[in-house]
Parts: sequence; C-alpha cells; structure tokens
Amino acid sequence: MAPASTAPAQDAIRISQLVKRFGDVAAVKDVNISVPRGAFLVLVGPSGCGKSTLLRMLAGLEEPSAGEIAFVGRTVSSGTGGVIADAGARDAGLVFQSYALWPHMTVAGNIAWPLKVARWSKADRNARVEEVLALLGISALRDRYPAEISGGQQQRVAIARTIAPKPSILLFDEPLSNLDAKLRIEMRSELMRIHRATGATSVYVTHDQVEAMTMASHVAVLNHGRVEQFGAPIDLLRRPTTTFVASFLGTPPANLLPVTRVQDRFVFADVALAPAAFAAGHERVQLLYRAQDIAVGRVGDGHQLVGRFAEAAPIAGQSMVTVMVGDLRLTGMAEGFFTATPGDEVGLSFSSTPDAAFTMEGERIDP
Amino acid sequence: MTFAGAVANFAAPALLGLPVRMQTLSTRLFGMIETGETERGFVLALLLIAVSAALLFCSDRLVAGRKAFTTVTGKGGRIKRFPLGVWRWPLFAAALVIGLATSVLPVLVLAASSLAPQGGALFSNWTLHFWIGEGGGALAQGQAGLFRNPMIVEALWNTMKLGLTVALTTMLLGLALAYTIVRNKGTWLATVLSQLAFLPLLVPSIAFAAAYIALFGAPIGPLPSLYGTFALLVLAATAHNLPYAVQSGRSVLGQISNDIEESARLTGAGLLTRLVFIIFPLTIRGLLAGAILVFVKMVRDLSLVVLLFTATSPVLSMVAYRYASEGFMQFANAITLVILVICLAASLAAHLIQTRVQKWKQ
Repeated sequence: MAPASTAPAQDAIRISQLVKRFGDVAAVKDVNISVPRGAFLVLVGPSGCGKSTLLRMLAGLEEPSAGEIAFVGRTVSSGTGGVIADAGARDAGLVFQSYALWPHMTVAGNIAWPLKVARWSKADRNARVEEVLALLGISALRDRYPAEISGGQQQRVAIARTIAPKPSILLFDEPLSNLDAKLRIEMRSELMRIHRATGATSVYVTHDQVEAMTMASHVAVLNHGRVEQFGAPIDLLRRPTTTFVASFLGTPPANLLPVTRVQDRFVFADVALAPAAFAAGHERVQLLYRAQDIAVGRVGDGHQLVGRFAEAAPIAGQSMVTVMVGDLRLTGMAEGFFTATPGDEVGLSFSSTPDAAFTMEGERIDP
Repeated sequence: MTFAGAVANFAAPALLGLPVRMQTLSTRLFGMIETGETERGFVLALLLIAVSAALLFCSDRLVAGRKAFTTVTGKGGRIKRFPLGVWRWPLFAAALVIGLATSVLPVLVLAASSLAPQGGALFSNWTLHFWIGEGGGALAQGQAGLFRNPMIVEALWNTMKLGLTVALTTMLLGLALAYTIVRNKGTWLATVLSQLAFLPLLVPSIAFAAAYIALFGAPIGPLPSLYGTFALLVLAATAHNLPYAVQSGRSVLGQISNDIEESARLTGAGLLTRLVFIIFPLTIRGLLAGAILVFVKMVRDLSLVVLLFTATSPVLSMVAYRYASEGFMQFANAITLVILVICLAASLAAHLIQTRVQKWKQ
C-alpha cells in the first residue's frame, strides 16, 4: 500500500496531459482532470468533442498517445506504457450507451456472469444478484431475456450488471440518451441514488447540459478535444471562462451580443448597452446577458432593441421568449404566458450591466 | 462463377460423359493420376487452376465496387404480404411444376431406378434386391444389396465421419480466422488473412486434391506420408471449405456489436472465456448453418475425394461413382438416395438444434 498521506495519490482519478491521436487527428488534447473519491464527474460537450474517447481510455479500451491516467495513485494507462492495467483489471465498470447486454443470458444471468468471471462463490453470487436486482427494482425480471424487456428496464439491468462486482469506479457512456424524456428524468435521480449507495467514483459522459448540471459534483466541458473549463457546476454557470461554456450551459441559454465601443458606451445596432468601462481598453467585445436580465417589452426608459418573434416556451409561470435580431437569437423573459405570431415585432429591454464581457475570440475579460 | 465452376467440375462430366467417352480437363486429370502419370496430372492441375483463376479474376473486375457490404441489424425486417388476385392459382401451379420438376421428380426417378432390375424399364419388375437382397442371385451379377454389403456400410460410416469431422474442423478454424479478421479490421494482418482464406475458392477441388497429394504424398520431415489416409482427406477438405466457413463466420460476427464483447472484456474475462461464453453462443446459429453447408458439401462431394480416396477409406460418393462407371446404375442411384437422405436429415437436425439453442431469439 502506498502511504495515505500524499495528497495527489488520494485522487480517485487523475488524468494528466492526456492526448489521443487517431492518425493525424487529435481527438483528445492535453486533458488534465483530477477528482476525489466519491466524486461524480460529468464530461459534457457536443458530439465529436472527444468525451467518449476519453471515457474509453479511462475504461482501458483505448490506449493514450501521450499523458497518463491514474486510479487511486496507481497508473493504469500512459502514453509510454500503453494500457498498463487491462480493462478487466482496473476495478472499473462501464455502462454502455447501447447497454450491451448479452442477449443469450437472462437478466439474472447477465448480472451473475461478471461475478462468475471474478470467481465469486455460488452463494455469494446469488446473494449479490438478489441485492442489486432489489436495488434497481427489477427483481421481477430476473428470468427474462433482454429482448423481452423494455429499453428502460434494459438500462436498469445494464447498471445492475456493472455495479454487481462492486467496482470502485463507475463509467457511464451517455446511458440515458436512448430513453424518452420522462424516463430520463426518473433514471437521473435513480443513478444519483445508486452513485451514493455504491460510494463509487463515477464518470459520466453526456451531451445534455441539464444532466451535467443536475448530477455532477465536478463538470468538465469539452470542445474539440480540449477541456474548456473544469469545476463545480455552479461555478461554471456563474463564471464561465469562455463564450463556449457560457452558451453551452444553463437553461435558457445565455445571450452573447457582439458590441462595438462608441465613445463611452458599447453599442449594438445603434442601441447603447453598457458603459465602456465594463471592459476598459477593448474596442469590440461580446457581452453576456442572462435571459432573466432581458425583459420583453419596454421597461422604464431602459435600452431597447427591436426584433422579430421566433418562439415562446412557458417555464415556471413565466415565458422564455426567443426573438431574432438580424441573425442573432436572443432569449428574454416575460411574465405569465406570452403569445405572439412568428414575425411580430417584439422589443427587448436590457438591464443596465451585462453579466460578463468576452473578447471576440471568446476569452473572459475580468474588469 | 458458374462458368468457372463448370470448368472445374468433375462429377457431372465424369458421370454424364462416361457413355460417350467425353473428356474434360478434370476427368483427364483424374485419369492421369489414376494411371500413375502423376507429374502430367500436376501440370494439368496447374492449368485448371490457371483457367479458373483467370475467370474469377475477370468476374471480380466486372463486379468490382461491391467490396463493402452492410449488415442489417436490430429490429428485423417486416414481411409485407399482398394478394395475388387472379394470378394466385396460375402462379401456384407454376411454382409447383418448377418445384416438382427440378427436385421431386429426379428423386422419384432415382428411387424407381434403384428398384428396377432393367435400366430401360423403370416401372416394371420392381425388386428390393439392390437395397437388401442376398448375394449370389441372378441379379446384379450376384452382388449383395446395399445394406448387406459391408463395404458400403463402411463407406456410409466413413462418409458420416468425414462430413462431421470436416464440418467441425472447418467451422472452428473458420471462426478463429473470421474473429481475427473482424477484430483487426484495417490492419495488414486482417487483409492478408482474408485474402488467403479466399484462395482455396480459386482452386478447383480436383486440382486441390492433386496439390495435396503432391504436398503430403511423401513423408515431410518427421511427418509420415499421409497419402490415402483419413487425415489427409480431412486436411484437404478443411482447407477446401475454409472460404465458406470464414465468410459465414465473418457475417455472423459482423452482427455482434463490439460493445457486447467489450462489456465482457471489462469484467476481466480473457479471450478464451469471451469466445466460449459470449461469442460462441451468439454465433452458434450462423455457425451451424455454415457447418451444415460444409457437411452437405462433403457428403455429396466427389471431385475432392476421388483422388484422395483409397480402397481402405471409401466414401459413399466414391462408391456410387465406381458403381456408375461399372454400369450398376441401380446401386449408384440407391447410394445417391442414401446421400440425399443424410443431407436432408442433417439440415432437419440443424433446424431443430437451432430452435432449441436460441430460445431467446423468439
């Protein structure tokens, strides 16, 4: 056993300078993430951002081109050593997007097989199978075959099978993407309950920022193989460091307006929005406004921008109203249920100060 | 394909050409090796290989571009039925006539001719002599009936043994090769293997047999000469049937998603465990189909065994061929019927096993 006092070794998962290249294309570029034991790390990003490749490297199904992955202080993969600990020997379980159940085994058979491979005694095996079946609420399905049960039930079986050998690290590859909206929300809290019940460290890959915000203790936003920002979900929401993170996270999405300095104000389409001092020394910047900082209609003598109505969605007694100003989609809030015909003229009033300013390249400017 | 097959075919010209002494490359080849002119036979074998390889190359060029194929997976197809209207009965009649004329009728003729003492009068004086008759009678120059002839009974067992052994070895080797090819897709190893696995398809069976005689006819190092042994038959037949086995192995493996195997890998299961408990049960249906194909091919095959056969290890098709060439058409036809029954029984058995082992597919 390594001495327990060294702080970095205590990280359940430590990813350093990880790179994965497929031919000339780098799918994962210089990723550095570490999370403590029991964390729920969500890797979120649009499709093709490298999140699944990263997860497959964690699982040991793909070897890194450079860098290193360590589980609880033990290096399991590295650019120089390839896959050091084999996929089956890293105390990790993976829930596949496709569930990947073995179709020729019953539900109980699917859950028991990994235990059989791990040479559990028959009595232990049976007890554990009953235990996880009960944990997932699928005891009634034990003798069914995967083809005979619904997608949501297959998902539960896949999770039961993965947690049965009690891995210390759980990996999830977009596990909810094949479920319908209502079931997805149910399974979300179900997964968090299981995460707490097992005490394992979880890594969860998704393209759905709502899943990231609701489930994660740590979020890494990935874009083009790079980590745009890593931290607690609330921090990412409050202080996005790039426009990509700002526009990717949060419901409704935040608004970014490209503005130009005219004397002491930043101006968008002849409407003066914020004082130039907000981002001193910059001629052209992007201003971030939250939807709740934009009101629909004229409010007092605030700065008003006029656009054409696109759509409205009710949310918690208010309405999220999306308006097109030229090619720009802007979302503001209106009290009650807002209705209009697409194409109608709608005015938007902006609060006196924006939430943040970014360079035209997308980097945050701190005042 | 058919043309190349026809050039290389031995059985049809050998039997149909018998009465008129028609000769093709493959029957000449057989004749030469039979009479001891082995070297000239090998030259002929090479010529035969060249002809069919050239033909296959041409046909490959013609249909090039069909290299990639996709596998349909998931929900399975939906059969759409539509009424045929007034065409219903005429079409049914046509289908019935074609079916009867091409498969049922020849079988009936075979059966009849195995019962008739005279080839010219198929439906008169029927006797079961050729099946179960005692030897020493007036019929068939005193030869005993099929089931009383120890040589034929032995040939029956040899045939079954050969078919089963070859089906088993071919499918195991085929699955192993197919697995390697599918899992290493895109690497030079996979490309070389898949090309190699198709090579036997280019070689006509009779030339293939000649090649195996050349290869194993004499002792190689510590290995004894295999000429005329059952082992050589199995070896040659396995290699000859490999393309079919690899192809069916590849298509069934292609239907198993990588995830299914990776999820087994993550449990710590080694390659052998995964093959035995995951891959094998999932591919058994396709493998059985492939095995039956190989079995049936082997049981019926004449081209390959005709050269590798010796009197000590006769197989049914060989015995039938010899009877036919000696003019005992009744015996030959009776044996053909036996072969047919074995093939039908094999496919029936495979069907039963398939529905039993894959209950979860329903």
